Amino acid sequence: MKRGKAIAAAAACAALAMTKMLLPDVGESVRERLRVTLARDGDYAAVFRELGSRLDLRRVDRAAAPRTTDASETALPTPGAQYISYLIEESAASGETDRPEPTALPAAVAAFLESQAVFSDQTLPQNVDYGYTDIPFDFALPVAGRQSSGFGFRLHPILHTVRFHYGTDVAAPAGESIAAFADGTVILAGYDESFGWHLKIDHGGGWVSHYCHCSALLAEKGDRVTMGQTVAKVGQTGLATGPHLHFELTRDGVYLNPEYYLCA
Amino acid sequence: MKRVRWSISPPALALLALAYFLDGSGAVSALMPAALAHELGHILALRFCSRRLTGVSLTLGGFALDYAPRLEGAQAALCAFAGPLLGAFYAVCACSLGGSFWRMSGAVGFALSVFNLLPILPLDGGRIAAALLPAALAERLSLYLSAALFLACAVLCLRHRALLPLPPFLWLLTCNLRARFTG
Repeated sequence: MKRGKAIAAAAACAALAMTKMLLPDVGESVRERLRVTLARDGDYAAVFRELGSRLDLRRVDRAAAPRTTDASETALPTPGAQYISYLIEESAASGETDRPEPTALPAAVAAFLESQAVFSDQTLPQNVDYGYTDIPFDFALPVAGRQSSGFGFRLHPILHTVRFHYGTDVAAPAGESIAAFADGTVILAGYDESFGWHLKIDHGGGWVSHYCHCSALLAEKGDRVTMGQTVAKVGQTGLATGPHLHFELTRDGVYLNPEYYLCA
Repeated sequence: MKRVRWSISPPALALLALAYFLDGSGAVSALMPAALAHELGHILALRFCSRRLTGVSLTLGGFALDYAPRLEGAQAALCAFAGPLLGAFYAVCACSLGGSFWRMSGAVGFALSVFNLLPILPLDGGRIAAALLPAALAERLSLYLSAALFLACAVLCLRHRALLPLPPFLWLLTCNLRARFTG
């Protein structure tokens, strides 16, 4: 009897481990359903990450230490609490009048940087800017829904390694309409193994929005679209674990945090 | 010198596999070194008190150490306290190492240490209370506290419709009720 239980447990253990390793989508789908049932919107992993960040003695030391003008630091700042002061100083030094006052940096920026402090050991990609930049045109929410994964470093839900996430995921029912972020011209409409059916809109001035994992594209390359016009439908094509819109925003090829604008 | 007997109960193995399967944040993998550091604290304290470790088993309630001869009084409290103490030390070291895995491991280890210090049997805090207080008082304290914490947690969980934190408190209450009514 005891031996039978041990064999059953070992078999269950092997089956679950194999399923997780060989069929990650199955695990992710079950996890998401259980998460909704058991945890609702509670992000326990985020609580632990925050606790881990607070227990970091080196972080306390860094905060207490006077700021240096080390060349490598100014050339490639890493995300974290220190980066907030970097942004403030950069903003003050630039003297640009169209940028927000250093003391009035949007709360969303500070909250985002705090959330990324736990990944302060990661190197920020060169083509990413964590700062807030005013958008010089009207824009609209592409799709309404719950943010299922944010911009910045994260533990990849399928690959289980820390990866940089260049956009924001908005969970929405499959088939939901995706609206154009702003007026512009479709510069790309096609299929990609990772992005699935995806579409890019050039809004002028170097601003480009990118819509991924769509179930259908309703505009073609070269089409002129207006803000709020339905350009695609929500889906889970490409590397996706459920129906959602992966939305990216770039300016001159530099990735910005879309959440600053989507929550506005 | 006799060898230490290591074992894992089938339900614990199945639960561990299920937790690993469902865990998307890496918390279960991160828990392993934290739990080992915690147990290492107990083992070092047992050696300090000249006790011989005879077995380490993983059950549904966590790791259990078998040793001889029996501990009593302040020595029992010291050995019970050593686990959370080394666990907390590990937590700070792991978080200061940097890296998302070690930070997660440190945070989970810290939470484990704090949870284990609750004066509820069979947690380390309960063992400390049992070693320092009269047995009847420690048992009553353990039962009432486990019931109060379970009710508080149940109210909060039902209010927020998030049931995940409930099982550990349900397990503690079950252990205490079983001890109370079966002796």
